[in-house]
Amino acid sequence: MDSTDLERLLTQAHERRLSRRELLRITGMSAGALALGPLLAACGVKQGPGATASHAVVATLGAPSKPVSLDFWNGWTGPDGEFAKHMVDQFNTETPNVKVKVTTQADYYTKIRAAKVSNKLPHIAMMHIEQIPQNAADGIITPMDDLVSLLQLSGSDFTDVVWKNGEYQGKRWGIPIDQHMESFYWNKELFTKAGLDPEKPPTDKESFEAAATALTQKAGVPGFMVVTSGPGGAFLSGVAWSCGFYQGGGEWTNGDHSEATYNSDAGVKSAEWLAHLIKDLKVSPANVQSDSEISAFAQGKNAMVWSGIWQTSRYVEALGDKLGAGPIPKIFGSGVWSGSHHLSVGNRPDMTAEEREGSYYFIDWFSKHSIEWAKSGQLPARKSVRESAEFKALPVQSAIAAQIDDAHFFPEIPAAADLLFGPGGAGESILTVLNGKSDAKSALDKSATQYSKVLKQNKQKYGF
Amino acid sequence: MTTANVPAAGGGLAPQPAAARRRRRIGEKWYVPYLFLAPHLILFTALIGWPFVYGLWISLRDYDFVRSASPFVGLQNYLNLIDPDSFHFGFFWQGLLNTVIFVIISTPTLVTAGLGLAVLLNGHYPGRNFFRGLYFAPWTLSVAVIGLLWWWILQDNGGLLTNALNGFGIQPPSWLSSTPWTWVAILVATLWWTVGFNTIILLAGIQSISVDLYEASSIDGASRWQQFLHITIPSLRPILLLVVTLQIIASFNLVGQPQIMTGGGPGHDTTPVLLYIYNIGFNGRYELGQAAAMAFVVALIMVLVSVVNFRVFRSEPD
Repeated sequence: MDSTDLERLLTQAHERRLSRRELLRITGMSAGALALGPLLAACGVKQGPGATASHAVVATLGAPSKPVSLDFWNGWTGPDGEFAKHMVDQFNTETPNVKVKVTTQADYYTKIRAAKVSNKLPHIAMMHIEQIPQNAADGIITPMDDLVSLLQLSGSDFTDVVWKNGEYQGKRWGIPIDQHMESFYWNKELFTKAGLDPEKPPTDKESFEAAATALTQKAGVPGFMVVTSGPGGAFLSGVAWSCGFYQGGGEWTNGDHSEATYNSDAGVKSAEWLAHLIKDLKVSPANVQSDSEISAFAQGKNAMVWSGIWQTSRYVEALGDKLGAGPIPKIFGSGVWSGSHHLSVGNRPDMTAEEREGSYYFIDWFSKHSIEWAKSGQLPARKSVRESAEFKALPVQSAIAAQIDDAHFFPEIPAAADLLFGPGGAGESILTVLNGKSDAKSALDKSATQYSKVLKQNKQKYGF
Repeated sequence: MTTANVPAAGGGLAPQPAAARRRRRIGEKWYVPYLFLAPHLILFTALIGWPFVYGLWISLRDYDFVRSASPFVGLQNYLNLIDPDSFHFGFFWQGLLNTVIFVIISTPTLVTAGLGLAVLLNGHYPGRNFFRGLYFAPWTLSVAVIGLLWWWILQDNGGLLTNALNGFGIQPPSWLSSTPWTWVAILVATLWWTVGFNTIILLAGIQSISVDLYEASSIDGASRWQQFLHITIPSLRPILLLVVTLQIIASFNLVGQPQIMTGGGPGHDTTPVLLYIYNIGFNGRYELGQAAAMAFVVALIMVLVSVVNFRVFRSEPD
């Protein structure tokens, strides 16, 4: 879609909205249900190709005037899929003109690529933040800079990084709805047993190691389990390692993304520290299978754990008042691994202006109602939602939200997540270190050498 | 059969010149035989011939099905597999080694277990048909079902077997995340799943052996074991060839069990080559040209293995 198309669409949308307002007045329908309140002021609006319309026009987005049916695809096969379904049901009830049909599937990104080939992409597609560059480059999603200017959306309602990473090659491809971060959970009962203050969790390297040692020695359970094997091992330990890596100032690649640089000091130190917990401090057993650190923590057999925030509901259910939650301790400084779900618009060549407008309306609605979504164990991406009383009433999520500005993401290039999760990537290297099969420096060197080759290939293929 | 039998078999037909006979029997139009071949030929071309050629074309390109450009790279995808410095070299050969390990441990196990069960199920006792059905039943399940089933039995946190052993005060190894137990777990799951197929084929083979041979040998004083060794096994030779060949091919095609039960781990220790090919082609990396090249190399190896297998079984014992 070129800029003239965007401008046309933008103008149409403005015209339609005004006429619909008159219609609303005549029919006496609740305008609140259809037209959402103005967003932020024009300051800081991204000057995308569609940002030519006057900001004096009030920044509301209404539902399309003609009825449309939209497909919304996501890969939320867990309990989060149920939350999404409830939210869509609510949306469908509130918005008679727009019917959204949700499809949830495993192997989501493979399915969506197949749909692209058969030209059956959905109108609205969930995208993990690190998937945006690849799916943008492959023509699966379309730019939405016009929505940004329509809503006068800006980065100021989001953390800078999560907003910036929704862009690829100067265009916006997704609106963030959440940030799901690595989080720190501890068992308050075991803290008391070990003579620690359950309301004062460790916050740095010294206090964390002291607490883990005290818990192991006095509470009779591992102080902090580090995953060393199992199908999810490369993911779980990779994410834990990346927190220390980010804290030490680590960068995944060099400036032009042609070399992998995660074998830097920051990467080596973070890996060595995790191995140190197992080998020297012995606060973690030598062999911990993936997910057993999670179930052990839920059963009170592991005193502290770093898990993705999506484990929150499981931990709350299992431990109740005994659960403590908060930011990842600053072992080497500030920095936490984070993921984020975005909503994007699928690349359907035959998409009508109404369908696009309906999709935008839905994305905007979902983003604003992300307080519901937060209950599935997420941090809402919008600052305004995070500052709401309703969010502050979620004790675990709001305690973890304190670290939101420390979030780090992968570089904005296709297949960047492979650097951590791919075959032979950092995650697998960390496991060989934790298993004592290799030292941190040579394991990461080997991995980074291989991925430098991949980066060069990808650079040629995608032209970043 | 000797030539002396031919007049009798031919009845009253008068001998005719060979050329005339051929013309009348096959038809006068040159295309008639092709018409008879057509139904299979069309299916074969559409379902095997064309994908084969297309796959070969893909393997010479940097191919990704969502991208319009697929640059020609010549033999690069094949050369990557013999270049120790390339990204895929280590993973590909480790995957192939893993597959070969599984073929080596699973083929003898599944064939002997199938043969043993077939002999047992050939006896005369009440409930025989029930057991025949019982051993065959798991074969009707899909790999997803058996993978998850065994995962739930063997997994570390509350798996059925793990819990049962814990009840006796035994701490079992991590079946699904430590070698060599991962292979044991995959082998046991595969045995439970597919042994019924080998059993049924071998059972049918045993049933077609003439009872006279067993009766004659027992009059001569042969024991059950001698009967098994000198009558059952030699008579089953062609069936065993079939079972061993099918088993090698089936074991070579290992994908689902490790994918579901171990995730290919620990590390890449149980990632069979076909799972690696799938992963780089469809699961995150989308390097379809490279995946196709690997698939052709694996197919070539399978053809060679099959040829050797046929040679070995065809050579008649003295």
